[in-house]
Amino acid sequence: MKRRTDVQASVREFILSEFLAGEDPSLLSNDTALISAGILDSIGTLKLVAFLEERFDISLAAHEATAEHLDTIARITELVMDK
Amino acid sequence: MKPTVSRSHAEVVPERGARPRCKRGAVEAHHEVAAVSAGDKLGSAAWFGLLFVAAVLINRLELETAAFRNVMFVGCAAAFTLHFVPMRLRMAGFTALSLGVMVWLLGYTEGGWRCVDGLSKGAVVLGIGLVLISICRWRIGFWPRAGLLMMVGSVVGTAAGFSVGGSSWNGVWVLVASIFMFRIMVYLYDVSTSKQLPRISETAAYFALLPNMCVPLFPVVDFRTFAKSRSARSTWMLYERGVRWIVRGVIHLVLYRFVDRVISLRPEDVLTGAQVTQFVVASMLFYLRVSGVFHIVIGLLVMCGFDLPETNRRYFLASSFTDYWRRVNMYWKDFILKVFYLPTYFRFKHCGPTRALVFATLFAFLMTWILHAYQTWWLRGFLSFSWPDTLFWTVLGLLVVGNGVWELKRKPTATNRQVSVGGTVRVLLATALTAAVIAVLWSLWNTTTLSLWLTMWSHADLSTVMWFGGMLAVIMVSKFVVEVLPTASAKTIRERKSPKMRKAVYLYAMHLFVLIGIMIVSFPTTHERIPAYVRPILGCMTSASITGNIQGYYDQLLDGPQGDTTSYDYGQQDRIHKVLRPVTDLRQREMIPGLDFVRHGVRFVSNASGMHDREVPVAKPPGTIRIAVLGSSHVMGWGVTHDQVLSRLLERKLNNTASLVNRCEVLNFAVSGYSPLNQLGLIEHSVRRYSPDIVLFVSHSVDQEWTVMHTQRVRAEDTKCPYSYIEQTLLECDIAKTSNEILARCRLLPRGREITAWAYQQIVVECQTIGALPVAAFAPLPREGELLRRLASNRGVKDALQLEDLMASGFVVMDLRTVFDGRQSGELALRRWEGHYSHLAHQLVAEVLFDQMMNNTTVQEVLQRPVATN
Repeated sequence: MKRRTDVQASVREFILSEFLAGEDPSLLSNDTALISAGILDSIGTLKLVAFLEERFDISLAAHEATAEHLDTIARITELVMDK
Repeated sequence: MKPTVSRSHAEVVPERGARPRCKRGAVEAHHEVAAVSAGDKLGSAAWFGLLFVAAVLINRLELETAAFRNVMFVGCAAAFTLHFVPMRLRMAGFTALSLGVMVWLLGYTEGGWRCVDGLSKGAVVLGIGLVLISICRWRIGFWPRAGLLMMVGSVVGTAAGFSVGGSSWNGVWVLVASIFMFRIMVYLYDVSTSKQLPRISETAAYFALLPNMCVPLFPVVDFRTFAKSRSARSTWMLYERGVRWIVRGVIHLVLYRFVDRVISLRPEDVLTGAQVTQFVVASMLFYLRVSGVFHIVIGLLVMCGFDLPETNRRYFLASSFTDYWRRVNMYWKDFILKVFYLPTYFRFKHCGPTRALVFATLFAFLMTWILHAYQTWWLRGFLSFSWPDTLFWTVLGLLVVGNGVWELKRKPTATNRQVSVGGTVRVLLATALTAAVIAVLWSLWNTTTLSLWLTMWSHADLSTVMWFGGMLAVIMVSKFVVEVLPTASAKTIRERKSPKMRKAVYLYAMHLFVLIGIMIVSFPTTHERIPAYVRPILGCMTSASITGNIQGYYDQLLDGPQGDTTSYDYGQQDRIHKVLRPVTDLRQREMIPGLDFVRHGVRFVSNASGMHDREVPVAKPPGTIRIAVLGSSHVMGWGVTHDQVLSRLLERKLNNTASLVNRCEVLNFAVSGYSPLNQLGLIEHSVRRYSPDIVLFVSHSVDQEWTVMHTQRVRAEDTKCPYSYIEQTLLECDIAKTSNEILARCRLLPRGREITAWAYQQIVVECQTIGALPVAAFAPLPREGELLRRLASNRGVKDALQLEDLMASGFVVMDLRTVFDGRQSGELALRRWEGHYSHLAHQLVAEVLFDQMMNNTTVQEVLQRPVATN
């Protein structure tokens, strides 16, 4: 059973270490735009997908690898929780 | 390079239904809402004002097609109206307006605007759309739906291929293609991957995008993004973005003109190392036209309340090939990513991320290549696969694959690494390398054959490298100033938190300044106040004519469908060219005999001798005095009928005058675009055969600029010129056949008055040789109204000098400078945005000309002289 706060924390940690190394962690909120603001590009999105599938043992579909589901930590958490 | 964390988006675009972050008292919250509401109204009104200024400028500069410019005005009005429409009705309101514009544009035919045509053609577009959308929404499997869509597409394609409905229906097929060829794929994909069917109102608005009605090459808007883009906050912040993009689009289109007229050259004209760089750089910069149009159309949609993303973002400053792919035409990238790249990647995911990425990227580029040809087929009617095209997409695809694999395997690094000297240097060098390779690839894509491209490169030498280095240095400096420095200081700026209103006022002032600046530059009177050597450069940026030196993929598509001259008005430029055809003598162009077509509701007919006049026998009838009228398009009567043109009106007045014993015949020899230099060729070629008694040359203030232009053309087109003076002048000004058109004119312009005065003298000599009295009438143009004259006081001085030159040349001069006094330029011009003489202007000129001729003793002597009556 996945806990929402754990998912949020894991995703947040991954994004900070993989895409925002050296940045102030307090600036990354659950609503910060990731794809539409350019933090995640197409390859970054694929890295995130690979991380989510491996870390939470879920399988994502192609149409879920878009800003609609992955643009913020809140949306990513929602997607993972729905699986 | 990674962007720093930005909270701006989360702050500006809150999630729908999101709760406020902090609790406030009810009274405090109420006051805040009231304050925002009042400020928002003011801000929104201000940005809408700027939008109308932008629309006026787009018309003033004659950017893109006439339909595009008209739709800009309609779009402005629509956006303003939609601001007041309740949110729940906005989608429906937007769709209704778009469909109305579609019917309006499709209603234009050879015979003018016809409601029946608009409705019937609109119904066909609507019918096809309903069938396609119904198939997408049908609850059957994905592939059966895709198969059915392909079947319907084939039927429509066959109809388009066989031009069903005739040439006037070309616009319909192009419109159908432009709306559905890509968006139906996106829609099918989104419907197939959604749990619920999309709303009908969202679907209708998605396909009926207002600016798409006049722009065939349209950004592939994503359905889900569009459906969610209906902003719940039509605030000044949204409008600020819309106007910002429209202004940026205008700047791109103006710069494109500069590139086209000053930098571009045909690949076959490349003869030196420096010209190699010139062609390569121009090829890359030609994309400015696409990005300009895309910025404007998406900006217009944003103004209509759709919070859509940007289309292109500083693509010249990309620091890698993947970065370039993400920045240039972002809508296309998103479309390919969603429909082809991600499904392929997920299909091959089990092979490992690297292999999946390679397969997905290669497939994405293969589809991009095929879909570009598919797009050409729908919009232009032919498939275009060539070696340059194939190589362009193959090389770019492989570069992006390599870059993508490297990015996938790269270890995470600090996002602020570029603040260090080493990081900055690496980013700048990567940007330069990317720009260099992309520019070379663009030059390949914009060359028709591989052998021509290789021949062009055979001229490369050290100067090519030096000029290329200069171009890359400019790009690196731009990258440093525009992207590296702001990123380095981003944190500081964020902490300062300057008030939003102050920033908005600054942005507003900046955009207003840019628009007004371009507007001022666009007035001919401004050109007269600036040094002669930069005048042609400013002139080319504000003039609508395009050289066509580089016919890139996108230019062909933006120029519109071949043969369609009605609903889109795309063929307007072609039609103007079709009125004339090139000749090798000093006329340089001649009017095509036997023309008969309708333009803007007025029939244009040329006679068998290539005159905008009735059929005229060469032999002069007995008892007749012949007056040959020479001039440009104004005098020719562009946009008026034979009966309304000043030569006919003058003839009627002369023949109705009882005091004249002879019958008068006034023949219209005027041809669109003729300068005094061309008139010399015309007298020699045609006028002399008609044995005129008087040659009436109507002169305008543009004589000097046009004479310079046509003098340069003598060398560029190898015109047969019997005058050694012209040859000598071209030699003295160092004008070669391959000289850049604009730069050559810059060199000739200081001698413009001298060359024009010489041409006047030669016209007089030629007239005397054929026994005709040379009369010159100096007449103003409609746009040079009283207000402009006052604003540019030296216009009067220049006119006086031109009159002096005409008199000194030996003409009998008719001074018509005050003919339009007291009249508005709007009533003197054919249309608000077309400066040719209206019927009224023709009447006024004919009346004053008649009076002055009747009061001039020299002219009277000719008119009253006895002529043989048998």
